[in-house]
Amino acid sequence: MDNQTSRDGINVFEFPVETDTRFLLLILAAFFFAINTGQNLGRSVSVLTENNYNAGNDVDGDPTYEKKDPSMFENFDEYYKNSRTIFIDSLRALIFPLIFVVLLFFCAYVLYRKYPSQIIKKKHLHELNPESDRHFTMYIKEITGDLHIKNIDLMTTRSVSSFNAQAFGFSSRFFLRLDGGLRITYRKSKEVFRAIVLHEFGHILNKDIFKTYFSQSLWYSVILIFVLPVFLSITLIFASGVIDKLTSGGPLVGNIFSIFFSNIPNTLKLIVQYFILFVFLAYIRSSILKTREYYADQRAVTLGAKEGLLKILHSHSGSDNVSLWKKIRMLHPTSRQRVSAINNPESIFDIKYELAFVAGFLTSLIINGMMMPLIQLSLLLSSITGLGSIFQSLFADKILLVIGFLLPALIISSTGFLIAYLISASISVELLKNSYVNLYLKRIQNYKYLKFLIIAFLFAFGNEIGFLIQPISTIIPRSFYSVLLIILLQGFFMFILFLSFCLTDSVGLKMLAIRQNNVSIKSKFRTITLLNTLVIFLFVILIFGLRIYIIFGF
Amino acid sequence: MDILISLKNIMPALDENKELIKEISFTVVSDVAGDESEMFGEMFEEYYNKPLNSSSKSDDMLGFGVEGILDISTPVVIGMVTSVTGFLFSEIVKTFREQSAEVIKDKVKKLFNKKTEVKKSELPELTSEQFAIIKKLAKDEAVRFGASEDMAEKMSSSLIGTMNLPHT
Repeated sequence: MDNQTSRDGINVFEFPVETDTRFLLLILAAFFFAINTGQNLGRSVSVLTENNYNAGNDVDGDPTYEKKDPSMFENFDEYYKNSRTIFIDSLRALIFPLIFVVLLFFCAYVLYRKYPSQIIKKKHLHELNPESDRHFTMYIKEITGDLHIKNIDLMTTRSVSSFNAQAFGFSSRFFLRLDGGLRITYRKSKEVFRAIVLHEFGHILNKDIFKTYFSQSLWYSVILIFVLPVFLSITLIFASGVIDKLTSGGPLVGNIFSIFFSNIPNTLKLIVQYFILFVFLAYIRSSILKTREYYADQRAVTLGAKEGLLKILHSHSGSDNVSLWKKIRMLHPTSRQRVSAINNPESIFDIKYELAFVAGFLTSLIINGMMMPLIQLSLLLSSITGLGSIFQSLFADKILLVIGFLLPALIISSTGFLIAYLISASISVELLKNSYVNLYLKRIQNYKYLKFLIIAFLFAFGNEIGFLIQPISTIIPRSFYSVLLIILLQGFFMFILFLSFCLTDSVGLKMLAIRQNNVSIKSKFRTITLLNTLVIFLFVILIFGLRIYIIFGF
Repeated sequence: MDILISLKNIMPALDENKELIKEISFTVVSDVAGDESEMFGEMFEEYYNKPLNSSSKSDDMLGFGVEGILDISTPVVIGMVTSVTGFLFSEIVKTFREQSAEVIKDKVKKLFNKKTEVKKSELPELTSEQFAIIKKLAKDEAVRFGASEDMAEKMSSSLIGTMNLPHT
C-alpha cells in the first residue's frame, strides 16, 4: 500500500469520536461545579470572614455536626436518635444541591431553547423565500434531499454583503443560516458554495448541534445562577466586613491588619481563581469546537467537497500567528490548519498534549463537586440502618444491609467507574487511535512510551491544577506533609496511567489487527475502552480514597 | 477583500449621480464579471449606501469560520467608477466654470452614453494627459479596492471602453 493510497483510506468516521467524551466532561464539570458552588454558598462567605478557615473540619459546612463512633452508644435509643440526626442532616445537605441541579438544568434548557431565536434576532435573519431566488433554494433542497436531512429551515439575511454560514437549532428542527452574500458565491462558484453548505451539514450529520449549544447553555447557566450571585455576595460581604471593622470603635490597628492580610487577599484570591477558571474553560470550549470543525470539514470531504473547501480556505490562508488571547477565543482552526487536516486526515489523530491536561483539569471539577454529595448520600443511606433497626427482623436486616452498605458502595464505585471511563474514553482511546493510524500508514512512531509518560504526567498535573484553581476546593492539601503525600500520590497515579496506556496500546493494537468481517473498528474500540476503564477504575477508587484520607487525616 | 470604506464617503457631493454611477458600473460588471450581473441591483444598493464591511465576525459557533467570499468584482467596480466620475466632474468643472451643475452633469453623462449619437462638440474636451490620468486612476482605484493587477487592468479598460471619448 503506497502512502497516498493509505492516506485516502483513512476515514476518520470509522473511529470513535473522542470529542464526545470531552463534551461529556464539559457538561459533567459544569454540573458538579454548580453543585459544589451551590452547596458552598454559605461556606464561601465564611472563607472571607474567618481567618483560619478549614474545610476539612465539618461535613458540608455544618460545624455543629459531631461524628460519633457507633460502639460508644450506651443504648438503642441513643443509636436511633443519632441515626435520625444524621439522616435529617444528610437529607438537608442533599436537598440544596438537588434544588440547584434542577434549577441549573431548567435554566440551561431555557437558554438552549432560546438560542435559535437569539441567533435569528442578532443576525437579522429571515426565512429564505423560495420565490425570491428559486435556483438557489432548489440547489440547497437538492443537497438536503441527497443527505436525507429533514426538518431544516433555511435562514438568510437581507444584506448581500455578509458571506457567513452557520448551523443551529435542535435535533428535531435544524436551521441553516446562509447569508445573502452566499447567493453571489453560489453564482460565482457552485463548488465553493456546495463546500460551505456541506461543511454546515457536516455539523448536523456529526450531531454537533445539541452538544455544542447545550454545553454552552449549561455553562452560561452556571455563571448566571451561581457565579454571579456568589461574586456579588462576596463583594457585599467584603464591603460590609470592612465597614464593620472600620466603624466598630474606630479604625483599630488589628482591624486594619485584618482587612489587608485577610479580607483583601481572600477576596482577590477568589476573584483570580474564578478568572483563571473561566479562561481555562473558554479555552477548553474553543479547543473542542475547533476539533469539531475538523470533523465537519472531513464530513464535507467524504461528501465530495474537498476541492471546494480547499479553494475557499486557500483564498483566506493568512498568517498562523495569532495572539494567545485570540487563540483562546477562536472557535475555528486557522485556514492553514484546516487545509493541512483536509490533505492529511490522519493528523486529526495526532497526540494532543493539551487534551490530557484538559481531561485532568475537568476531572478535578467533577471529583470536587461530587465528593460532598457522595459523602452525604452514603451517610443518609447508612443512617437508614439505624432507623430501620426498630423492625428487628431478618428480612428487614437484609434490606437494611443492602441500603446501608451495599448501595453506598455501589454508588461510590459507579462514580469511580465514571471517572475511569472519562479518562479512558478521552485519553487512552486517542493514544490508541494514534498508534493504530501510524501502524496503518506504516509510519515509525518515535518515543512512543515517552509520549505516554508525558500524557500521564499532564493528566495528573492538570488534575492537581484543577483542584488548586477551583474557588471552593475541599480536597486540596493544607499542610506540608499532606502536600508531600499528595505529590507522591499523583506520581503514583501518573505511573498507573502510564502502565494502563502501555497495556491498552499493546492489547488494543493486537485486537484491532484481528480481522473480523462483522466487527467494526468502532465496536473493537468500545471493548478496548471498557477493558481500559476497568483497569483504571481499580486504581481510581484507591487513589481518591487515599487522597481524602490524606487531606482530612493530615 | 480589503474594502472597508464607504463609497459614499469618497464622493458625498455626487450622491445625486447615483444612477449614472449605477449605469456605468453595471456595464463594466457585465463585461468583466457576467456572473454578478444578475444580482447587481441588490449589490449596488448594499455597497453604495452603506459602508462595506467585510470584517464582520465570521467565527460564529458551528459557522464556516471564514467568509464564503470569492473575488467579487461589483464593489470594486462601484468604487472605481465613483472615483473616476468624481475626477471627471472636477476636471469638467475646471473647464466650464461658468456653466450650471446640470450642464456639467449632462456632459459627463454624454461621455458615458455610447448608445445614442452624440456630437463631438457636445462632449467635454479632454487632453491626452487627462485621458491618461483617467486610465491610470481607474486602474489604481480598482487595485485599491482589492482587485488584482490583471483584473484592475481589465476593469479600467472596460470603463474606458464605455466612454465616448473625443479625440483631441
